[in-house]
Amino acid sequence: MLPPSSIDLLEHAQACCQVLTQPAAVVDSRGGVSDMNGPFLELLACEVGGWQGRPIQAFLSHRSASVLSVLKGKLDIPSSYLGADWILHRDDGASLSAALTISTLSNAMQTLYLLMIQKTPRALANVQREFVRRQSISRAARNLALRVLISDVAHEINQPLIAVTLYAQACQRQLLGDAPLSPMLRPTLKQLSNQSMRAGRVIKQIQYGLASSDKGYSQVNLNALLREVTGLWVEESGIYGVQLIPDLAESIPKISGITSDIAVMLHHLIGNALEAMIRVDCAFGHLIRVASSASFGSVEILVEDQGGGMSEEDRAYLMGEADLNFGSPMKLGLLVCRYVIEQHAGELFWKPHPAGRGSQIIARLPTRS
Amino acid sequence: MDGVRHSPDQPTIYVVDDDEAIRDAIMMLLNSAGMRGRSFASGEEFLANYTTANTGCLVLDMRMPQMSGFDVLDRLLFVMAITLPTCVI
Repeated sequence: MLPPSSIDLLEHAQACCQVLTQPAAVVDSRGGVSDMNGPFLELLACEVGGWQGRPIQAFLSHRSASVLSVLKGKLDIPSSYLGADWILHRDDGASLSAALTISTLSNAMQTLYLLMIQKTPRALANVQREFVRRQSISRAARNLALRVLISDVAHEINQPLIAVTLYAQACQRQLLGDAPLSPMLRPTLKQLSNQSMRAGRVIKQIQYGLASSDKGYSQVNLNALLREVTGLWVEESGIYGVQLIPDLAESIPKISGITSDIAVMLHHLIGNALEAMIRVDCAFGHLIRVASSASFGSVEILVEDQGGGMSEEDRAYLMGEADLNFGSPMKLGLLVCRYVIEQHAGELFWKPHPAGRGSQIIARLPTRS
Repeated sequence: MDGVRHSPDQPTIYVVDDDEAIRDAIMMLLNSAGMRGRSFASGEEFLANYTTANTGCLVLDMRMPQMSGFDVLDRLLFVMAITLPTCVI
């Protein structure tokens, strides 16, 4: 699977690109599409030709059907690889600039290549120069992203382990001497056990992500995937008295997606739901409902818990309304979920549990027939 | 902590960490050692409640959302001019 940090990578690359190209404006739906004419596309096809044979993702603004269809024809890119992102453009009368982010997937690592295409007499030279600069930026961004990812993983594991150590030391102190057993001993031991399990869950989620490695798009049966992933959580949920209730639609269309990535996202959604309930000691209920449904052109997955809810900050991040801040206990899961959903051109929503405390997370994925 | 009596003069150990489990564990450990602690879930909350009349020390998480531990130290040292002994975690 691709590292979740590729979102950061992309954002970093976009920021670099914006600085370098100094765009006057983001292309709007009219101007952008009309400027994407033959010479631009041919130049693009020429540059991208060097990457033929590898999966390519082209990120385009506005999801313009006409642009996508032209690109598909020109570049022979499977439709499933075409996502949506942005195009920058400047028209100062002398030259027209556009920037396109192209990411290539290679050996489970994502490399971003940014091309700046200019319709000027020195177009090719400019493209080549920019390409070298982008490669350099890309390498630096990739290294940075990898370090950030490793740091995130270490932090996720370290937090519960620190708590385990502190709780154990507290227990030792309470057991010192001949004094009667402290009434705090039992809750301390329970917390110790909870935090050990929390560390185990983090490792389990990371292991699951690393073990899932298929990169190709295929037709994904979400109901089957939900049954599989839900099954992985039944035993641990039972330890806390939490019941996982599958509520799957009888028949939902298959979606085009990367099975392992979607499975990892589901794994995190359910894991986070369980975590949210354990954190409040299941005070608001013991049920996690996992549902699927189909609506026109998309499939929805719902994970509903009876936990303590999500912070505003985490909700905003989950739904793509804000960037992530460091330090959130559920950060890694959120990062993975948002990455996978963006990769599949889907959407994530948070809603309060209809019965009161708790959350509903809804992942909507297009069927892309 | 509940059930533990401390002298009003006893210094307070302020614990600032966004992770509830870490806060709880540190408080439990302090309590078991007979120390007086007070925990805060964010730097903002701590700064809003801390006054120079309080003596003690600070156990501060560096990696927190919104206001990081560095931001808290920056405010304490350079804005509020408070030199509270601080352990960073």
